[in-house]
Amino acid sequence: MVSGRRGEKRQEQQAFALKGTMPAMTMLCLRTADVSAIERQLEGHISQMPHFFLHLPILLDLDALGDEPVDLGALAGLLRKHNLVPIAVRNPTDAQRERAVAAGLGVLRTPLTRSPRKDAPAEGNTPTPGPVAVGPAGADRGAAGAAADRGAAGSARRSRDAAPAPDAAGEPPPAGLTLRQPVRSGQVIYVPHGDLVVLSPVSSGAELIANDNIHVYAPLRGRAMAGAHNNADASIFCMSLEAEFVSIAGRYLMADEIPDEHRGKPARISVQNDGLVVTRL
Amino acid sequence: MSKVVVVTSGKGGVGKTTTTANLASGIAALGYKTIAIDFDVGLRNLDLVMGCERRVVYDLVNAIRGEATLRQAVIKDKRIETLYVLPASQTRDKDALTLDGVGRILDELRAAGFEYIFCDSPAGIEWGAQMAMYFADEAIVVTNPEVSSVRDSDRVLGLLDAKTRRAELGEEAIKTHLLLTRYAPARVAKGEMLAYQDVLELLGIPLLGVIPESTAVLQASNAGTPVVLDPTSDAAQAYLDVVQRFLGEERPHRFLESAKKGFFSRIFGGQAATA
Repeated sequence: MVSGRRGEKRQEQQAFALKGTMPAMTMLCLRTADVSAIERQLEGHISQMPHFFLHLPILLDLDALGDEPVDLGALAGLLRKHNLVPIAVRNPTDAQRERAVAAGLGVLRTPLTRSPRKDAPAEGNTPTPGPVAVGPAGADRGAAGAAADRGAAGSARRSRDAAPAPDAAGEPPPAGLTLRQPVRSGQVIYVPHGDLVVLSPVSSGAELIANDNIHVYAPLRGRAMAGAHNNADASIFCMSLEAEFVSIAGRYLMADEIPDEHRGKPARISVQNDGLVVTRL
Repeated sequence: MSKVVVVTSGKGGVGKTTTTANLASGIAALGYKTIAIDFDVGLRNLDLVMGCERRVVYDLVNAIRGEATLRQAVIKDKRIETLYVLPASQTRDKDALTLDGVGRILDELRAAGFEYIFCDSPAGIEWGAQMAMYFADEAIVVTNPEVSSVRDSDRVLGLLDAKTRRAELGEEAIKTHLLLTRYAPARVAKGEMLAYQDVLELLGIPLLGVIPESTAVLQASNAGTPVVLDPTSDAAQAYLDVVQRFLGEERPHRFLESAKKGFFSRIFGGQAATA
């Protein structure tokens, strides 16, 4: 009892708690120090999926550059100009470490830092900057509108389902999101970490984005993008496949490409041999 | 107790204003103090459909800006004692509507004892439509049996869930009703229109009623007399059913099947059953 009371008191006095966390993040693995080449590729990605990149936190991995110097100040400015949020660099050389600090970036202390194996780790187990769920998403309507609606829909969902904000800073990443209401045309539901579970129909014109699996226990008539941060192990499950567009880790199928025998049937969509396959559930 | 009801659709020309006029008239005729507000600033129509266009002096925007009192702006219907209309301005644009202003007008109407406040939304999902829906307690989503109208209604249902006061305060969600208008069972049978079951399946909200396509509606609009005031047509009957259902009464849905002219009805001059 005494210890309990003391515990309460301690909680009152502490303004915050420090916790370690390993959120899944998008990493830009630089292969060149040419900032304008980086910008060209970035603009390409953003134009294809503007709402996905909006205010997205970014890590910069410098491992592949070796000792080649890159203008981190200019690079950070470039990312911010495109509404991305550069956070920190990984695997910098000592000279780059100073430039990173000067550019307002953090330096990530990972076991990989200054690893003697220069080639393997970065390529092997980290997401590459290759196409991240690239598809014609958002091409048919104003991207700004979609982004604005995402905010609106998101806040409503949060208040109802008490799901934490997608970018809640400092807290451990939320383990996915479960939606009970229908997802309507024009709404965008984005889950940066974990699975997205929807218990009601997803209307044509609605959009689901998640880093892991997407489950729809009702008809899926809109667009679904699983494995958005290049997670090819993700799947899309739905009770009735009527989707306009499905995508996992950059591979996608348009409505016309979904085999007829799976239309309106329970289905799983997953990555196999670098393409998407639909299997009957 | 008063209820703010928005009549909305997303798509234009599906029958929002007709529905507002008929529901407001039908409910007022039962003795409830009712007002219909036209939110279609710049394209005002409700006054025409309700037959009070010659008595418009002030309008919603005047009342919001304090250029007229609410009492001056509100028009009392000549046929139904408890029915009032607050017309839209024809000369301003929708930016003249403000959230504070609309909220204040609705508060004043509640204080004045109005039991049903119908907000006739403009088409689209822009500012005017958002003003019309923001303070709603219930929403009637008017839809035609065609895919584009259904998709627009779906979009509007999403906005009702997200961009309204109830959503922002985290209160109980707005109660939504589906009203299917311009329904022609014969054309449904030919596959030219969506069946009501399909629309219900796509939108997933309760069906308040189905209004059959009818020339009576057009004539009534032109004459400035809502069809419910002359309940001889199918459309008028359907709207009266809708009024009763909206007030909580159970009524079977009618006008869902085409009236087939059977052998007997052809011989006896065709009082076709409307089951």
